[in-house]
Amino acid sequence: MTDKAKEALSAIMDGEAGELETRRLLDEIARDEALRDTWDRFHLTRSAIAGDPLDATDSADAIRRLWNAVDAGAGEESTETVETRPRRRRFGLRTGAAVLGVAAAAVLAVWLYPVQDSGGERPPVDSVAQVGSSETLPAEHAAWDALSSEDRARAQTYLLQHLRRHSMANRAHPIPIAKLATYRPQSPPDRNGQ
Amino acid sequence: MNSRPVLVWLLAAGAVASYAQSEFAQDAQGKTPEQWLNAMHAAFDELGYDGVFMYRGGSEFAMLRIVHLNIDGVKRTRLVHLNGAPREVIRHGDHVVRMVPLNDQTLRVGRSAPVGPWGRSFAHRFQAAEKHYRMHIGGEDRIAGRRAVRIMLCPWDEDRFGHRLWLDHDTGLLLRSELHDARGDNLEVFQFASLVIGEDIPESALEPEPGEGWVHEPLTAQSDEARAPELPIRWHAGWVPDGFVMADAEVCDLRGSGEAVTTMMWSDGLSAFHVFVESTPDGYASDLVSRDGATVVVTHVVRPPEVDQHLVTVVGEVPTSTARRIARSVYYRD
Repeated sequence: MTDKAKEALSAIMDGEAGELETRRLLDEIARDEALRDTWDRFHLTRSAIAGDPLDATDSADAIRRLWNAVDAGAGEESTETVETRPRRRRFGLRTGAAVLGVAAAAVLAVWLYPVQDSGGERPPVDSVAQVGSSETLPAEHAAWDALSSEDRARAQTYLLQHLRRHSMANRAHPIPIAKLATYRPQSPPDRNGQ
Repeated sequence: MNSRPVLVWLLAAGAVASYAQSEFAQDAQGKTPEQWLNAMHAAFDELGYDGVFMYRGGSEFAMLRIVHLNIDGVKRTRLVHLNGAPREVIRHGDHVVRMVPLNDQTLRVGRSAPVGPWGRSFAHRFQAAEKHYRMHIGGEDRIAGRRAVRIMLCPWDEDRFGHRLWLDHDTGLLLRSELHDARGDNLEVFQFASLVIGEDIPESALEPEPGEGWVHEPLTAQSDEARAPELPIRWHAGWVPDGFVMADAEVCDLRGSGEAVTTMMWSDGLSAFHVFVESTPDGYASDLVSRDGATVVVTHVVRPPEVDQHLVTVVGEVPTSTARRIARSVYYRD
C-alpha cells in the first residue's frame, strides 16, 4: 500500500475527498486487502478518538454509505466531498501527533471491542424486510463485474456446481434445492442503463 | 470485606442460570434441540407434504410449490416456480431433472453432478452439528397456520452463520428458517405460506405441468458409475473451520473444457462449502470476492513451486473472511 493510498484514505476520513477520488479508492479497497485492513483500522481509530461507539462492522457500513453517496452523485457535476458520518470535530490523520493517537487508539479499540461475540445470542430479526447481507458491498459486486466473460462463466459454473451438489447432499433442508431451482447467472451490468 | 454475601449472590445467580438453562434445553414435549433437529431431518425426507413456500436469499425472491412423497421407499419431489417463467425441478430418488422453457439458459452450464456416497453421508454429519452451535428452544410460534417450535442455533465461532428454525410441533417438519450473520441480519429466509402434511396427497401431484417446448436437463448423472475414474487428490486445504468435515473430493473435467478440476466439499452438517482448484488461465490476476445472500464466491491464485499457478475458488455458505482464509490455505502436495 502506497503513501498516496494512505493519504487518500485519510482525505476520505476527513471528508476532503472528491467523488472521483472516493470512487477510485473504494475500487482499490475492494481489491487490496492491506488497504481494506487499514481502512478498518482508521475507521475504528477515528471512532475511538471521536468518542463514537466502537463497532467494527461500521467500517463496512461506511464503505456502503460511500458507494451509495458516490452512486447518487453520479451524473452530477458536483465535486462535493463525501463524509462517512456527521463530523463532530476536525481530525487530521496526517499529522505526526495523530500517528501516535492512531497507534494508541487502535490498541484501545482492539481491547475495548472484541469484534464479534459469537457465543452470545443476537436479538431475533423477524422481519423479512430486513433480509439482505450486511457483507454485501457494492465493491464486491464491482469485483465480479470486472471479470472477463470467461472468468465470470468459470465462477458461475463453480457456483452452480456447489448448489447442485449441496442440494443433493442436504436432504434435511429445502433451501439448497430452492437455491438451485432459483439460480440465475449474474449478467454483466448495463452501465448505459439500457 | 465479608465475601459471604457475594458468594450467596453468585450461588443464587448460578441456580437461576441453571434453571433457565434447563427451561430452554427442552420444550413442553420434553424434546431437546438435538432431538428436534433429528426430527426435522427425518421429516423433510420421509413425510408426504404439499405446500407453497417463499424463499428469499440475497437478490433472489421466489415463491415455489413443493410436493414430496415417499412412494415404495423412493423419495420423490416436485418443485414448481410460481412466479415468472415456468420452471420445475423433479427429483426421483437420487436423480434430479430440471424442466425449463426452450429459451431458458439459466442452468446449462457445466456437466451433471454425480451423486456419490457423500450425498448419503451428509445426514450423519448433521448429527455432529451440535458441537459447533449453541442450541436452545426459543419458544413457540405459529407458521402457515401450524403450531411451531422455534430452535435457535448460535455458532460458537465466527466461521459459520447462525440459524433460526421453526419446526412443526406435530411432525418436526421445517416450516420457516432464517440464516443470519454475526450482526443478526438475515441472509436467507425460507417459509411455508401454506402446507398440507399427510397421506392424502395424490401421486399425480408429482407430475409436471404439461407444456410444449420443455427442455429436460438432468442435474445429476444417471448412476454412480458415471463418476470418472478416481484420480489422486493433490490439492489440500491447510485450514477449514473446526467441525467442517470433507464430504467429497474428486478430480474431473468439471466444466467440459478438458481441464482437470480438483473439487472438494466440506460440511458441518448444516452449512457447506466447496473448494475448486484448476490451472490458472493466463492473465487472471485479481482475486474475486462476491456475496449474494449467504453464498460467497472467493477466488485466489496460488503459485506453488512444484506446478504452474492455479486458481482456487471457494464457494459456500460461510462468512467472507472464512472463505478467504480457506482459499489462502490451499496447498499442493505430490
